[in-house]
Amino acid sequence: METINKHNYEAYFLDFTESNLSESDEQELIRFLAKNPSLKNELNNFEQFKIAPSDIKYTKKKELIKKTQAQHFEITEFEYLCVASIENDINETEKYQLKAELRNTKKQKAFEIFIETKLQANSDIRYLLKDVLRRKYFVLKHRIIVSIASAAAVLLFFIFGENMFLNSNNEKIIQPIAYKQNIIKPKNNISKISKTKLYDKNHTQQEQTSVIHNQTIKNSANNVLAFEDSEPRSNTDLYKELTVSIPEMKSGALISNIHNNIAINYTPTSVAVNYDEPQKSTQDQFWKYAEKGVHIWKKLTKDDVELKNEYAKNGSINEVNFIASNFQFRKTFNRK
Amino acid sequence: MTINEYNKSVEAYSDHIYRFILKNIKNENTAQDIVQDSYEKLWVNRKPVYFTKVKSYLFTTAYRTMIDIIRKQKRVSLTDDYSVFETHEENDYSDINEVLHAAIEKLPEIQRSVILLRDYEGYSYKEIADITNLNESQVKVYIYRARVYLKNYIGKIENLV
Repeated sequence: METINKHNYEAYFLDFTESNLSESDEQELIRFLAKNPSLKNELNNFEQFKIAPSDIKYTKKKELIKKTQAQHFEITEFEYLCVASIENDINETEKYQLKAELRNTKKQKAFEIFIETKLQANSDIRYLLKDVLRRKYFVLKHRIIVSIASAAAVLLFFIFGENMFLNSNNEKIIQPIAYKQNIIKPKNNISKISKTKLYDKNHTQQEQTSVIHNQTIKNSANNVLAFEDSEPRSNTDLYKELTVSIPEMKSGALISNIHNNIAINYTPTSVAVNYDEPQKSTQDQFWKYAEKGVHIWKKLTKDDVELKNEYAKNGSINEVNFIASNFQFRKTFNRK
Repeated sequence: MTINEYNKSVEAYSDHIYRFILKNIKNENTAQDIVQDSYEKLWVNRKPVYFTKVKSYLFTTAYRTMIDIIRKQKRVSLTDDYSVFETHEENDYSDINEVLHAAIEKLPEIQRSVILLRDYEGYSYKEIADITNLNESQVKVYIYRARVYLKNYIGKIENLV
């Protein structure tokens, strides 16, 4: 440190009054004053101007303090009970506790304000662009296709189309034919009638024939007939064969519907066989395909359209229900 | 979900979602965009969404889209700190409802969302938790805090009046 002299002694005096001098500096200052006694008074003046610390305090500290989150959310027990009550999140003990608290008028008023914190949605605020959100194109497409085309098609079919549809295959379907067979010789107590129908490649009826073999024994007791099997005799590609077994029966017995749609009328001299071509299978098949088609359509478009078939025990369709978004149609089949 | 159900959801919930978003962000155009965006997402994902869950799906989507937009715009801090939202305005309210809605605007974002879902839509804590991606306890705490804040706000205004 530099030595105290007449050019820098004031700095030393100031440090001395503020007790900032080291011990060695203090000793040097004392030695300096001993050499310059006239400066002692000046040092005394420094000491006199030293200001004592004040005890004045700022009283509005609280207003300056920023609240922490925890201080913000300090919820009193009463407040908790009020909110719990509004939120319907209160148990019996808490209810009792709240009731007790609400005897205080001030708290009663506070609770009333809590009730007012329940918000009500303003129903005047509406989203006005709903049309933009709706899937118009698809709905239109759906309406056109399903509600008009499908509906019209199905309705037309219900009214006219079924016959039209089936008639279009008329050439391929053999019309019902009644057969009459004369009895030649009864064989045993089991009667048998065989029919063979022959079709060409185009499914048109080409030939129908019935050949009876081995008619030998007459059952005198029961007068029951026997007809042996027939054979398809044609070099055609397709054929169907029908074999009907008739149990024991007496003269004049009438057996109907013993095999699908065949009626047999037996007399001692003849057997009449009424054979109906099973048109319904074609019809049932159509509706089964229609049902599948509509189901696929529904899957593809995700739309409300359905075709439900109701089946009888024998597998034939009793009723058809077509359900679209805008209408419904039902067709019942009266089958004998 | 079928097209029909989708269109039903437009009728049934678009107003609700719009109100909820508008109350949160106070911007009609953005609110409309968010509603449209939510329904677009629903349309794209309609197959696995059941009609019974569609409202929740829409609110969840709308809420998350809104949060994304807010974050991008950095208009509102997503904190639970009132100091950000406390502004001093002239209080010129004609009824308690106005006071209440003014108070809602001053709530922190997350508290505002949960209380709107609770009161406007009547959602349970669990449902709100699913929509906002919080847990049930957090939802409950936010709702309690929001109610106390609203009560204090209304109380102050009533005292001033």
